[in-house]
Amino acid sequence: MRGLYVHVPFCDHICAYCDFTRCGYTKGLADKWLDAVEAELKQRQISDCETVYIGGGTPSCLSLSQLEGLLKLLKSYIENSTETTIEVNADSLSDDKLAVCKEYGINRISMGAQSFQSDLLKVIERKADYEMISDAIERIHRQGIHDISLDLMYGLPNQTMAQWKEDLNKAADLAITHLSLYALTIEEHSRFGRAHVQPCDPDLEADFYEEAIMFLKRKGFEHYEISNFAKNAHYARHNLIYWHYEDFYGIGCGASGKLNHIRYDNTRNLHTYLTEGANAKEFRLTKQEEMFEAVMMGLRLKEGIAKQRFYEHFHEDIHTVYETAITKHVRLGNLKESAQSLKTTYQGMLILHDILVDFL
Amino acid sequence: MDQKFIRNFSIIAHIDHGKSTLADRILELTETVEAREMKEQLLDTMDLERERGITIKLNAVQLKYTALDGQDYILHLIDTPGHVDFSYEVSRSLAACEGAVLVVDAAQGIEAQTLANVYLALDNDLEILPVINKIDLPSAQPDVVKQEIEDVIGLDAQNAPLISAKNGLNVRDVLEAIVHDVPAPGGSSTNPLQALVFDSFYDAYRGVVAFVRVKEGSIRIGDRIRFMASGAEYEVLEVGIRNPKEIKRDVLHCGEVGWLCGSIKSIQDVRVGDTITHVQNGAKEPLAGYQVMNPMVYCGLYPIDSAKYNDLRDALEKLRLNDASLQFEAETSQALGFGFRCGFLGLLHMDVVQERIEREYKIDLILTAPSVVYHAYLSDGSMMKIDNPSMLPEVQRIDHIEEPFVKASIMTPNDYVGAIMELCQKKRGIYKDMVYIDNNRMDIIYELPLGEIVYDFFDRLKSCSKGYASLNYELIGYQTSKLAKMDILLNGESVDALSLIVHKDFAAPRGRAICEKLKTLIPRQQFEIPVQAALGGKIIARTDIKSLRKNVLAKCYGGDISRKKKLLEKQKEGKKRMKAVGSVEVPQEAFMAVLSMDDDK
Repeated sequence: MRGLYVHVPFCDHICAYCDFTRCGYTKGLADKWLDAVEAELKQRQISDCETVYIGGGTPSCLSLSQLEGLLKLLKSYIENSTETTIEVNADSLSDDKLAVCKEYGINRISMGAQSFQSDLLKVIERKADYEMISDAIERIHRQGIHDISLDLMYGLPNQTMAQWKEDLNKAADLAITHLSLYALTIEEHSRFGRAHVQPCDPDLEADFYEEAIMFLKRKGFEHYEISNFAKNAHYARHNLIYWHYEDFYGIGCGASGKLNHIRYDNTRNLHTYLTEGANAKEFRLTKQEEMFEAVMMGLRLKEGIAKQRFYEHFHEDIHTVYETAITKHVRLGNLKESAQSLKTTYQGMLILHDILVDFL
Repeated sequence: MDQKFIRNFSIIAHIDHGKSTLADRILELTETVEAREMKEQLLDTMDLERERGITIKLNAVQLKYTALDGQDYILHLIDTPGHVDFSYEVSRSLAACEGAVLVVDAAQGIEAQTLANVYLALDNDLEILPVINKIDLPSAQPDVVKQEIEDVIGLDAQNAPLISAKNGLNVRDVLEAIVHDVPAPGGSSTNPLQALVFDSFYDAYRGVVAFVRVKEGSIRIGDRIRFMASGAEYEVLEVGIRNPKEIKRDVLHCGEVGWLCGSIKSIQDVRVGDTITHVQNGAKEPLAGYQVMNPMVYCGLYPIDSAKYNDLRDALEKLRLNDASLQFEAETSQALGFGFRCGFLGLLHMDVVQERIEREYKIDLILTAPSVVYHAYLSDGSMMKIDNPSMLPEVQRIDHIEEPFVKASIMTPNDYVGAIMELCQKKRGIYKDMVYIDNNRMDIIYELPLGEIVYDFFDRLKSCSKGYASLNYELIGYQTSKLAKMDILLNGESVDALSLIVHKDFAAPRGRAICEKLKTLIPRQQFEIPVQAALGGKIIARTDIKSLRKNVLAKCYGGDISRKKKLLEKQKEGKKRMKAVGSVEVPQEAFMAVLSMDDDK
C-alpha cells in the first residue's frame, strides 16, 4: 500500500508561523509549476496508490483552471485511490473550485482554521474567520463531500484558556469528521522565528492539550494520533500510511518521498524546480534508521506499533532490537507492551519526544 | 654577538594597562614581524587569549634593535600575564631577565597588580624601568602618575618615557631606556652549562620543547644534557629562538633566551624551574629554581564520558608541562565516578584550564564547585586538610574548623570606599588599614576569608566600584570560623559533588540561592524533583523542579521525518552532556551552580 503526496507551494498570504516550502501565488509561476509537475509525474513510475493527498502551501489558491489542470494530471491516481484529500483555506475556496474537486473525485477536504479568535488571527496573519469557515463547511457538504477535517492551533501568543475552549467548542459543533490540533512551534525561519516570538509557557501548553483531549472525547472524537482526532473512525488514511511507515511518493517542489528504502527530497527552490525539475536528493536508509523511523512514527498512534507488521518490515523482533529502551519506559509507565503491540500510555504520549531519544 | 649587547627584559603591568599592545609596537619598531603578518596581541597565540583579550601564558621572542647611537642589540622580550591568578607565570619569566619594563596607565595610575608585579621584580633583582602609557587619553595625568610611582613604589620616574602604545608614540624611548639601563646578562660562555627551564610545552612530533635562559656556558645541537632535578639525560636535537616564529640555530650562547628539544617523550623529566647542564663537565650546582606556588582553590574535574578518564589524565599531564602550578590527583565521586581533584591558583586559572582541556583535548568536563583547603581539627586532636567538602568528617568528630585568610589590598577611587567596605564587611572581612595613595585614591586593607574571595568577591568588587577598584591578596594563615558542611539533595539523595563548606550564619540564604539556581539549570524531568539544602542533616532550604508534562512533536507526517529526527538527535547530543545522578539527569553547568548566583535575591 502506498500514498501519493502532491505539494502545491503557493499561498495567497504567508502565515506568521509557517516555514514550509511556499511562496506568494502568481498566475505565471503556477502555470509553469503545473508543467513541471506534469513532467515529474511522467518521470516517476507511480503505481498502487491507495491514497492521494494534495497539500501545501494552499492548493485552493490555484485558479479554477489551474486546479482543474492539476486534477486532470492526477486523474488516474485519484480514480484508483480510496481517499483523496485536498488542503484548502476558506477564503480561496469558491463554489466552482469545489465543484471541480467533486467532479474529479476528491472525497476529503482538510481546511486550515487555526483559530476562531479575530485578535489571534490577526497575530498569525490569517484571513478566514469563523463565519467564512462555517459557511465553507456548509458549501462543501452541499457539493456532496462529507469528510471534512479542520486544523486548530494552540499555544499562540497570549492565547487564553477561555479562547481555546471556545475554539474547541465551536469546532466540535461544526459538521466535520476530523480535527488536527497543533501546538505552535516557533520555527527559526518563520516570521515568528525572525521576530523572536517567545514560545508558550510549557505548563499552559500542556493544559491546552489536555483540555482538548478531554473535551473532544466528550464530543465523540477519538484521539487516534498525538495531534489527530476522528469521529466515527474517519481517520486520515493517507496520514496513516506515514504513521505505519509505508512507502509514499512525493511530487512537487519541496516534497519528499520514500520508496524501497530510499528517501528523496525534491528541491525546495522553486526556480530550480521550474527549470531543472525535481532535482531530488536521494538517501539510502539503513535498516537501523528505518527501524527507528518506524518507531518514531508508529508510537504516535493510539494503536501503537503492531509487532507483526514491524517483523514483516524488518525481519526483526521489535522487543529484541529496543530491549533497553522498551524495558525502561515500560517500567516508568510510558509504554505498554503486549504480545501484539507496543504503544504509548497516556502519560507516555505527552512526552513521546523524550522517550524516542532513548530509542536513537 | 657580544654578550654585552644582549638585553633580556619582561613587560609587567596591571591587567589592561597595555602590556600586549606595547609588545606589538616593539615588534613593529624592531621590524621583527613583517607588516603583513602583524595583528593585535601578536604574542597571545592561544585562541582563548585573543578571545578574552588577556595574556595567560608568558611568551618569549628575540628582537634585533639598532640603537640611536648606531649600536646593534639583541633583545629578548618576555610578555607576561597581568591577572593575579597568573603571577607565577610572571615570576618565572622574571627569573630569565635582567630588567622589567613597568607599564602604568596614565589615567588609572598604580593598581593592585602593578604593585604585586613590582615586588616580584624586586625579588628577582631586576632593573625596573617605569613607562607611562596611554598618554593620548583625555583623562591622562602623567605628572600625577609619576608622583604616584615615586611615592608608592619609590622608583625615580622623572625620566619615565611617556608613551601611547596604541598610537606608537615615543615607543622608541622605551627601547633606548632598555639598552641603556638594563644590565647585560652576566655569566660566561666558557663556564659549565647552566640553563634555566622557564617554560615548556608538548609537541606531538618533537616531544617536549623546553624554553631556556642560558645563564652560564652554551648549548649546541648534539650536546648530551642532563636535567639536574630529574636526572634525565638527552641529546639535544634542535635549538633555536623565536621571533615569534621558531628559528632554528646551531647554538644558544650565554645570556640568550631560546628553546631546545631532544625527542623527550617523558613529560615528567622536564620540570619548569629545573637547570639543564652538560652530562660531561656539568655544573656542580643547579640555579635557584622557583618557589613552588601552592594552589589556592581546588575542584573536582570529571569527564562526562567516563571512558575518557585516561585521556583526561593525559591532558592534565600535558597541561602541567607549561603550567607548573596546576596540581591534580585521582579521586572518586559517588555521583560523578572517576575524576581528579585539581588545585588552581584562582578561578580564572581554573576556568582557563577547563577551557583548554575542552578545546585542545576535546574532552567534555564536569567541574565541581571550587573549594579552598580547610583545616578540620578532630576531637582526637588530629588535623585533616579538606580540599573536597564531601570529605569533611561528621559533625560529632569535629572539634573546630579553620579556614584560610588573605590580606587583601584594594585600591580604589575615594568615591567607592563606602561600598567596598560594606562589601568586605558582608564577606566576613576584618578591617585593618586604609592609606591614601594620592588625593583621590585609597588603598584599603582587609583580612578576608579566601573562601569568600573565591566565591564572588571579585565580581562584586568590580560592580560596586564601576570597575575602578583593583585587588591583590596574599595568604596570611588560618583562622577558626563557624563552618559546616552543607549538603545538596536532589530527589532526596545527597549529591557529594554538590557539597560545600559554608559559614553557619550565611548558610540559609546561600542554600536558598543554590536551590533556586539548580532549579533553573536542571531541565524538567518526568517526575517532580525536590532540591534541598541541608546543614548537619537539617533541611534549611527547598525548592521543586516541576515535572515535565509535555514534550512531543506537534506534527509529524511524511515530509517531516528527517527534520524531526534531527531534532531528536540534537536532544540526544544535549543529553550526552548530562550526568545521571541517581534518577536525575544533571547538566554540566549545574555543578558550578554555587558560584554564579546572587544570594541577595
